[in-house]
Amino acid sequence: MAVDTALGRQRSRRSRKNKLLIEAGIVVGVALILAVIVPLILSDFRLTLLARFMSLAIVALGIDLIWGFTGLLSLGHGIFFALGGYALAMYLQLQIPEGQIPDFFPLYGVTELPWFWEPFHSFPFTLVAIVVLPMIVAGLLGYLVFRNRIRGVYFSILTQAALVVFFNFFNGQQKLINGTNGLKTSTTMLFGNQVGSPSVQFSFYLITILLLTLTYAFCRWLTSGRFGRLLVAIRDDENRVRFSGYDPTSFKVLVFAISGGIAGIAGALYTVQSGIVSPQYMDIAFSIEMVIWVAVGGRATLVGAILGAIAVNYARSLLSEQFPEVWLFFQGALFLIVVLVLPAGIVGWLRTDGIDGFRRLTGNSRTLSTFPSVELDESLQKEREIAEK
Amino acid sequence: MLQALFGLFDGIFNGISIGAVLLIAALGLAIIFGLMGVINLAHGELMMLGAYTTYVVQLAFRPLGEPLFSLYIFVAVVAAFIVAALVGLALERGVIRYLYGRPLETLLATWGVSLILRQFVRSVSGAMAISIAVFCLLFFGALWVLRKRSDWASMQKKAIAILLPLSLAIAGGSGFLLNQVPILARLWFSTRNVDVTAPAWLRGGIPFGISQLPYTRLFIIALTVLCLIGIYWFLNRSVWGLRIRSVTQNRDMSACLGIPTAQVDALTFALGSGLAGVAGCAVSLLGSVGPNLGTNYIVDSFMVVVVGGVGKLVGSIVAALVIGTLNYLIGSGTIAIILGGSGVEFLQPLVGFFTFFATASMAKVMVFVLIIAFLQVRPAGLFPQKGRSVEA
Amino acid sequence: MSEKILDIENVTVSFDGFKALNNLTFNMEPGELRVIIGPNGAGKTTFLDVITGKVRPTEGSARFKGKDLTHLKEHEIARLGIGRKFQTPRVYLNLTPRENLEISCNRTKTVFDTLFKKTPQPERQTVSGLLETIGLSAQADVPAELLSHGQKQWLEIGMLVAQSPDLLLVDEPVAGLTDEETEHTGELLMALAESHSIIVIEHDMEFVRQIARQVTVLHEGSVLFEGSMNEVQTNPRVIEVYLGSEPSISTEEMTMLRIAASMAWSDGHFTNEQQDIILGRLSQQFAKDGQEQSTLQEELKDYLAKDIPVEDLVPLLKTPEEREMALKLSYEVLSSNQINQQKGVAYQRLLQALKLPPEVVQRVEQSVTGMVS
Repeated sequence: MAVDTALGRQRSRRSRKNKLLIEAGIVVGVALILAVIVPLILSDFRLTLLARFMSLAIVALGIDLIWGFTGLLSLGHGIFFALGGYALAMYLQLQIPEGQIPDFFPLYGVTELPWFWEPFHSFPFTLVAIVVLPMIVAGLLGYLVFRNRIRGVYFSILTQAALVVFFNFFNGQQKLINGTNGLKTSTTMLFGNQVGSPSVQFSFYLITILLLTLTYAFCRWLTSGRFGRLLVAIRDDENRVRFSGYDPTSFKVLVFAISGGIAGIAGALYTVQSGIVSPQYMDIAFSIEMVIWVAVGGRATLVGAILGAIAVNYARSLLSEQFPEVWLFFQGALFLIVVLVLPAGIVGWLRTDGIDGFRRLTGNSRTLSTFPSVELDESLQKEREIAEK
Repeated sequence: MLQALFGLFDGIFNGISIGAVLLIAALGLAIIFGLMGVINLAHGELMMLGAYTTYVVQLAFRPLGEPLFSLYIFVAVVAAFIVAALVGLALERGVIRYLYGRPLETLLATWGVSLILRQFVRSVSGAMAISIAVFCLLFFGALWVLRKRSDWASMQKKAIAILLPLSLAIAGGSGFLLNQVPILARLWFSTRNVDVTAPAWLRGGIPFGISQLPYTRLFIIALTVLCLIGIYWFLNRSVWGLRIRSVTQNRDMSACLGIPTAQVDALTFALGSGLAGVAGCAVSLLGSVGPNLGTNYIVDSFMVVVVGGVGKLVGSIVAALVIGTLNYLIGSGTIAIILGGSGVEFLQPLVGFFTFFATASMAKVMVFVLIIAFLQVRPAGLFPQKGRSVEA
Repeated sequence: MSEKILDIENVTVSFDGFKALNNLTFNMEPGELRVIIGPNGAGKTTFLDVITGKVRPTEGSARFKGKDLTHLKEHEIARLGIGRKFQTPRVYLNLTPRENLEISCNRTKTVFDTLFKKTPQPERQTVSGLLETIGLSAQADVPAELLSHGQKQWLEIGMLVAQSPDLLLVDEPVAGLTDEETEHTGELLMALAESHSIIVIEHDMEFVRQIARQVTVLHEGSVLFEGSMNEVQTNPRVIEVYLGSEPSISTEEMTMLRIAASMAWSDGHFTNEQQDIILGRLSQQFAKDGQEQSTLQEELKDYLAKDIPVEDLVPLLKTPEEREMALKLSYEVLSSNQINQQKGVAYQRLLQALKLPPEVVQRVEQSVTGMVS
């Protein structure tokens, strides 16, 4: 028996390795198709749209990490998304001849660059800031909330309040960051090219694919190991985790900060692709929408988060272009349907009922297996022996 | 000296009146949250419905002329309560009761409802109302008929799968056709904001020192106090109030004692929603009424619930008044002025600091920071529930 | 190792003026298996809450191996080596039993190590071994939400062991289990007790009797009594707390009652007739008039306890007269029915335990026989 299980474990480990290789192959394959073949088919406009959806899919991955796996519903991810966007936009705004300041400043009578703009002259600093700035804010907010065991709905509405606060702050500070008008990036220069130009946009498209793949791999690594299991454990029963000797607070703070950092990357990409960052990125509705992308795709499945984000946003662009009125009705209905009828999301449904339903339709239904399997259950075997006597 | 006293009194009065608005908006939220652990993101939209109800009642009273017109506000309060309560009841029966025990999902579902309500107000027209009525008649009528059959359980899924798209299609089609009729196609409310004119006796105010106390503000404070008394009476003196309190404390035990918990939930939700309607009626006197009216108040109301804790109504009252007063004192720059006027040397750097936050939106930033700081000391709010049962 | 593993002094916990624990003092030697019983609301769970840091004592101190617990957080206390099993089984439902155990088994519980280190081989083996011990090898890789209630209870005990704590706190381990499962759980705990210190909270008296060596009775937030199971069952104050009325007979009298009853039980049958004889004789002995006798007889029914070995009861009797009385009662009971082999053996055991001189025994036996015939 003991030998048996040891062998079985070895076998299962080998098959797990194989599965991982196959998955990596598929991911790289899809990425290559997106990078090489899709640009030949789609127009420039559609391509930028796809790139934007993919950068939104990156936030969705971040949300999935905290909501799907750890059970923390953040309604304030717009903060981190916008912070990433602002960081990059500030760098781009500063790509002007030495000694000048971005052109909106004089409008408000500001003649000197505010101090916190200074470091954004440096490109490496900006790249770090895009990730680290949201991480710090998320980490701080998370620490202050989680260390007091505030969780569940309380956490959600506090993140929403934080969102409103950040919105008010950015919206009100014309003299610091151009307030409600936001920072434009489409007309700025990056390495001597205009950011809005098709060639730069195409390279952003490629970068988005790369970053989406990397983020996916990173989240996959995070969630498949011991850390991932601990996240699920925290979602299932946080107190049990505590009495097992772990400090859930530090895990939650870390995962919330990581999620914020991922949102920052997405925000930066989205900003250069849509040409502007403004406090509108911290709209309440936008942040809740992010959650619904994940819910539609399927919680706790990373593929689901990506597919959900792309699908919902595609539907949005389709519907709101033609019937802007219907879009809100549709979106509201989407929230209701996903929560009431399809709580596992599309991918979750496919994994369980979907496959079975399809098989039933094709008349090829799977044979049912008992739990765990009659042959392995010792107590059942014992009962059977007794019965046979 | 007198000036400073007036200033202080003015600040406190304004703080209380902002607090009263917050309180009346948060009251329903707090009751629902205390009983069911559910945060209703559509609460703001229920307020919005209340405000629109006030607008409609006012329009209906206009032809009557004075003095009857001046009394419309009392009818409006009651009507707003009823409309919002009915919508809340439908919301609870149709959506929320399927989601008990899943508070985060409830949050998302109620957000969906709030989106729908907002767009509904924007695009409702005669044609739309009729097609919704047609849909309800077809779908729910058919369900009602079918439910009487003995084999209902076996055909339930199939029946819904057929009925839903069918009645949607019929309703949609008839809506499209009716939309060709100009009268029916006209929007009930324009997409722009509408204005509620306060009755004559609510215009103006009591002159007081350099400023005056507006009657509308006084009216809102009075309305809030009235609601508080009403709620207090209802919860502590009526049979259903007793039931609500018992379910709040121990749901399972109450169910065992024969209290219809489902009805209690529905009633509480309707009550909380009705209060949102009254709040909407109150705020319609302060500014223009639009589909997004609720969003301006909702986050602050959440904060009232968070700071107040779920244990007692007193928590909400204190929290609302404190948050309201702080918001006003910081936002209006009163603190900065008082500090600046004090002439104390080492306080001067603080003046610049408070001046920076002396706008309505920046005050919210400051108040949020204070709330987070407060939660470090009292994570469960002002009046938390204590004991072993809290963290089961 | 003269140091106490757990030392709790004058702990008071009050919730809004209600004292869940009131000036409680408790200590335990390393390697002890202690059972805590007490009526509902006695503060048993709050007591565990204080040890594990879930509730901070309003007053008093709690020490584990000399370290102060009152200022530590839950996870820090858990890392010191205190494991807790909750009243209702709490396992991670979306993880498999193997993953559940691995999470508890992990030695380095910091964020960094969880991220970057793999589960080492010895831990894997420990987990496999544990799965075998708790009988979940076959279900090792299905989600724990599919397990039965009993399996979840066991899994949680397994998680506790995986943590390899020095002190295990087990809250109602057999609630909702079948008799067979209960017995297994008892065996498991006894096995664990060889290498751990354990505190068990339990209501099931059968189970307590199976495992208990030392029992602490809590009542209204403080320790009411501490002693062996037999002492607990014969202690008048404990009986008062559990049955709600003070017994009108003394401990010694109750012991006599129980010795006689155990004779009647020795062959597994206990007829009403026998019960009447015991109670009737006893009540005659201590009551003044007829009416008092009948009320006493009714009352005594409550105190008949089953399955207490004679050897444990006899030492509770102090004087030779009391022992003589016990013998007399027992012999009466025995001779009221036919004496079979089991009863004979039981009687011999009683005689050995009582250590009365042979002539006394003979005298008593004769007097009873004479009376009966």
